[in-house]
Amino acid sequence: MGTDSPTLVNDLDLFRLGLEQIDDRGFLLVDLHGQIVSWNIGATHLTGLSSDETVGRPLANLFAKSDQLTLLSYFANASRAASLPRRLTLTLLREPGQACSVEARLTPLRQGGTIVAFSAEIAPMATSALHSSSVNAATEQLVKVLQAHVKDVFFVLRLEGDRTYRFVDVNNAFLAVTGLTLDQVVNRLVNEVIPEPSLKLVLSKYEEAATRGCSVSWEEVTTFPSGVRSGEVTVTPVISAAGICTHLLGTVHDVTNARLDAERLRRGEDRLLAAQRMAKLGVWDADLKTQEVWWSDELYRLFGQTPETFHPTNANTIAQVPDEDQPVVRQAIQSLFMGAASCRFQHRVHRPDGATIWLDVEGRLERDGDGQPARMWGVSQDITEQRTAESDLRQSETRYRLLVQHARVVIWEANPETFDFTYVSEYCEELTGYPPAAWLEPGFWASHIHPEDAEHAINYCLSATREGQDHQFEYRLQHARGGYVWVEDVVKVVVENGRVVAVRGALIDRTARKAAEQALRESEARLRRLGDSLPGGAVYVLQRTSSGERNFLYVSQGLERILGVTPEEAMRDSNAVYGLIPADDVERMAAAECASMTNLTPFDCEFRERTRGGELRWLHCRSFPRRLVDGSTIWDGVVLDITERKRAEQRVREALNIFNAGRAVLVRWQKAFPYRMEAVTESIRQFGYSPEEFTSGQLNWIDIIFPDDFDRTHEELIDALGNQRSHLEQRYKIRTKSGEIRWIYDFTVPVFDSEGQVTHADGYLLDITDHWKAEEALRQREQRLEVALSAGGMGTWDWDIATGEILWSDTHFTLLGYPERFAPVNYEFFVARVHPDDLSAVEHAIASARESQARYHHEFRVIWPDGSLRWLAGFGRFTYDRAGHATRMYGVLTDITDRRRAAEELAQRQSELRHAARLQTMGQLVATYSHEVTQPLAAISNFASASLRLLEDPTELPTGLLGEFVTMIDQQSRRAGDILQRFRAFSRRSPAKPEVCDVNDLLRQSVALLQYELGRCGAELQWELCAAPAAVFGDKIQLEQVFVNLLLNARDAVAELPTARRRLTVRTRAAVADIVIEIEDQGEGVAPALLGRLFEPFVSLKPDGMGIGLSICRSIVEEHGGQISGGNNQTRGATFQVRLPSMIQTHLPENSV
Amino acid sequence: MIYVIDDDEAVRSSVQALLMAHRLAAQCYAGVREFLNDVALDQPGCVITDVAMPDISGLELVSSLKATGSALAIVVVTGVADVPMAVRLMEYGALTLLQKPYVADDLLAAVRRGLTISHEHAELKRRQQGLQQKLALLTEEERGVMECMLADKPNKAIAAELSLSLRTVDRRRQTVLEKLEVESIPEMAILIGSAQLAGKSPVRN
Repeated sequence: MGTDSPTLVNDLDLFRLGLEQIDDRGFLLVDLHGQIVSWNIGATHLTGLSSDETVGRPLANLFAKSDQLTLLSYFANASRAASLPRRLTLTLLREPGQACSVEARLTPLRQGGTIVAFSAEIAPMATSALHSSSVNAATEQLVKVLQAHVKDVFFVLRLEGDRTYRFVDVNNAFLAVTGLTLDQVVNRLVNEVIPEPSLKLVLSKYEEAATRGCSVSWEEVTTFPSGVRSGEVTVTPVISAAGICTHLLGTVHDVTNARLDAERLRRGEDRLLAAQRMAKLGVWDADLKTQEVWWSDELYRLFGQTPETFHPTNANTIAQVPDEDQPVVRQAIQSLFMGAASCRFQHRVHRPDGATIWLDVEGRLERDGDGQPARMWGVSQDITEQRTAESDLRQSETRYRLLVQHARVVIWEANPETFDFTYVSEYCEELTGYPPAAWLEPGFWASHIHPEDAEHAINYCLSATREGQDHQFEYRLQHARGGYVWVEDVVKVVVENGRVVAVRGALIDRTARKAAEQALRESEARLRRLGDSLPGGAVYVLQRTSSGERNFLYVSQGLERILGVTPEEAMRDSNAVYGLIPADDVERMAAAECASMTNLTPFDCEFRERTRGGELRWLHCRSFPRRLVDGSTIWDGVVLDITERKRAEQRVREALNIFNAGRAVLVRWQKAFPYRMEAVTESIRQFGYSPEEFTSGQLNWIDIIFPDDFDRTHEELIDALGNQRSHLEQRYKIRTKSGEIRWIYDFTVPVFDSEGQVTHADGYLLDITDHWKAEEALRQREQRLEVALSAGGMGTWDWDIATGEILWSDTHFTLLGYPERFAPVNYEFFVARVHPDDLSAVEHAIASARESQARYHHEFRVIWPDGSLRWLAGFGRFTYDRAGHATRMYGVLTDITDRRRAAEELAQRQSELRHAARLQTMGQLVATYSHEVTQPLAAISNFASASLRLLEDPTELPTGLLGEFVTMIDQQSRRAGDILQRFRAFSRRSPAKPEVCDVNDLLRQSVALLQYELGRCGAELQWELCAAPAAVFGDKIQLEQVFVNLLLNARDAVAELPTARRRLTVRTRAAVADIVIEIEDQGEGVAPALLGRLFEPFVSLKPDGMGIGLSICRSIVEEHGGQISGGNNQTRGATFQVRLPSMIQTHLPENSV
Repeated sequence: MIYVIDDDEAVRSSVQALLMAHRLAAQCYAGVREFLNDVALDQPGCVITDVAMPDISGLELVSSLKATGSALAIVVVTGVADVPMAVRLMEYGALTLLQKPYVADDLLAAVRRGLTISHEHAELKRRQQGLQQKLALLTEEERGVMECMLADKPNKAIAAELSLSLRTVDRRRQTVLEKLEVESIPEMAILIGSAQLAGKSPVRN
């Protein structure tokens, strides 16, 4: 096959090679996606691109943008609809910047109406269209023939270096056989298409064909998307003129189906053999004339023999049959000879390995034409397992009987008509007290069912039996000793030929379970009754499913009384209850519940819940869990409101705490003045008095109350008694017997009779002096702190925002110029002290600290009452309530006048220094200045003289001239003024005045100051300013000073150099947040030793320099929040860079302004 | 003609205005190169130029004009003058140096003087050129006779010195006078002497 069809393939290839040789026009094949598939020399000439650069790329890419769309839409539409050849005039892009007009003819190539590819012919505009169309038609024709009629697979590979092969073309058969799409094959490498393990073989064969230069054939099996394909493949190399193999042409004869058939057959045999083996089926065949015996492999195996070692003669075979079975075998075979068509028998075989098997044999005898036995054959099947199973069954039946005898179940059999028992197992006596004999009496069953159950049970059983239905039901049976037992009756109805022949069943004792169920029902009912009547509690049944969901199955009415949640609400959604548990208790409750659920131990937990009214109540929950079959857990339990108990406990604890301290004095007071003590505990002695002193009336408590406190406490007492207050709490001082003053806490409860009259009062007294002392100590500590603060010159303030009152420490007053403190001040008083210029800043700082909850830190001036001015710094903080409202502001205030003055002085010195430096720079600019300023002066002088002359001798000259001259004089005087102004500003000593300025403008002005200087030395200045406004915030003069300095340095660096190198570049650009200014020169660069110290004072770049300029530059730039740096360029010269924070943090494109 | 060279437009036009007011016509140039391209340097005239200019400095202009033997008188004005510059300018043959801002009369005086000198210089030069043309007409022999004539030697002595016959000397003598277009030997001596004088710079007066 491989040798027949390639002629056709070769024709195509030759044709294609021929086309590829056409050099006066491009001839391409383009696939459905508009990608170039093949490429010829003409196309290379036309485009300057090789096939390697174009094949696999979109055709459209060769052309101008405007044409790409045309082509893309052509390909997109052409593949969809019936499409016609199209001629286009396109602009071909050659090398960058070159373009030429070409005529392209696109022709769809069809197969059976479907477009499969396109040919594209590209020619310079002049080429004859007639000729190209004929070539085109020929190709189309050929491709059509090939694609439509060749059923064998063919393909074309291109060699691309060592062992690299690329599919250049394949026919439709290839795609059909492999199930791949054109995309998945064409232009892909062989190893992208052919999978392992075939790939290895295929590549080696390709290699062989390519190196030996002759056709190679082989057979291969490869897994493609279409399935496993087998094929006979032949590849033929295409050798170029240079003797190099460039392409491989391949054909494949698909033999998959033939292979599959063979495979299937082989599989069939295998399956048969496997079936024999599985069925343990042996086949035998004996030629009675030749005495030749054939056994199947399996039969050998069954006999435990192998064909190699065992000769299956009659004698050998029978030798393995036990003696007792030999007669059966002989008899059966004999029956065949006697004329039976077939025989069947079973016998055992002793195998050499000692095992014994049972064989089931079916044999047949065939006779020849004369009726003589000619051949005997048959099958023998191993039925050992079957025989074993039968014996097992017999054994299990025995065991079953035994079971029936001993099971705690009554097994019975009854007449399906009468329902009289025909058999009952012995357990019946134990179950009901009646012996089996009694059970077998007619009518026993019906007469012993509980009267309540009888009707239902009998009817149900009867009807089910009649229908032949197995059934199961429960009823009570009478016990011989009275009472009933619950049984479950499982009935099996035996039906034969549509008729019920027997009923059998088992009675299972269910009494215990029924009793439990009953008990449970009763207990639940009791529980519910209890629950509904429970005063401070409720009962509930809670289910928690295996997925953790809680459902109340039942909740008693009490719940509403406790929580205000109705049982209905709780049962609808358990969260109505669980959602009320405060977060603090949820975890504890859940843990207890989890433990109870896991271990099935009682749930016992105290926790709090918030009632609907918002009140917090203590609940005590106690319940018992049980697990249901579905994995859910049920708790039956009680919840009790123990809030009162808890409160009582709390009170008791508090009381105990007090009394346990042993210091409390319990007292019973008389109701009326002077409130004698009726009884008092011994602990009164801690004050140096004996109980008797008070109880006898010799001394009254009010006598020892400190006089200052007496009136207050007495009034309170009278008020409490008069208004029947529940209790009275007071703090006051007493004097002990030794004269010491102690602080007392007095808790008294008046006791009233039924008419509301005070009978007496009970209470206790507590010495709280120590506690009081601790508070006092705290106050003293505060005072000490205050003292410390005032020693440090720091005043404190505490502003209560609600009342508006501000507490100032003594020092605070001092700091504001008041020698002594006075009443608390308010905010308005404070702000009135602030210097009017600083007022808005202070108010803003306070407001923003308050709003942002940040620390307050502000420096401001105040005016003292004597009119003097002080600088103060405040550090403070606001405190806030839960709602986030400021409640207080406190902080410290310190005097920073000295520091500020020092800072101002420093700034002053710095300013002076900078001014001095500017003056020094000015010295260098004198020449520029003179030149600049003399120009307009000269002009003025000339115009003035000319004017005078005209006035003297007004003849002949045009009349308007004089006015013109005067105008010029005016203009030039202004020009002189401007120049003066510029230089004066630069040399002026003025305080820093920061403002928004454009760095580009500053640089231009700086250069203007230096114009003459730069021109004089012939330095050429190059501008590279950014387009966007380079806005910074700074002092113009100081920044100009920096730039002038850097420019002068740059000029000095190039002044002595050849003209070509006397070049300076001034550059600005906007970095993200900065403006970067660079001044670059082409000079000799900075000496390495100086590089690190450029900006240090007294380090100079010039032999005669003072080394002040750059250090001042740095201080100015840094003061503006910027950075200055300098270094040598990579090639030549140095660059100094200044970065200043930009006012516009912008990422706008440069041309947007 | 007066030429004003200054890169500053205002200065330029003010000078022109001043000159105009004094009935002097001037041409203005913003740079030296422009001026050199436009003006015939062998013509008499006065140049008023600034020193500091972007293309070619006033100093360079002066030195190059001197090198070409131009008849132009040069008045240099400058905003910033120093002694070394002044010295160099004088060496190069500038007529005078005025410092801005100058008194208008000084400039006018300088310009007038420059014009005069320049014209004189041009006249001399013209004469010298005429002489050269005439001298070029003389043969070698005639030139030898002329030199003897200038040395005021009698014919006999000339004949003896040059080994010529008296007649020949006499004839050549006549030819020399004819070719130089002079009547007498003193006249010839004046012609040659003054032409030699014109070879020097006009400012060396």
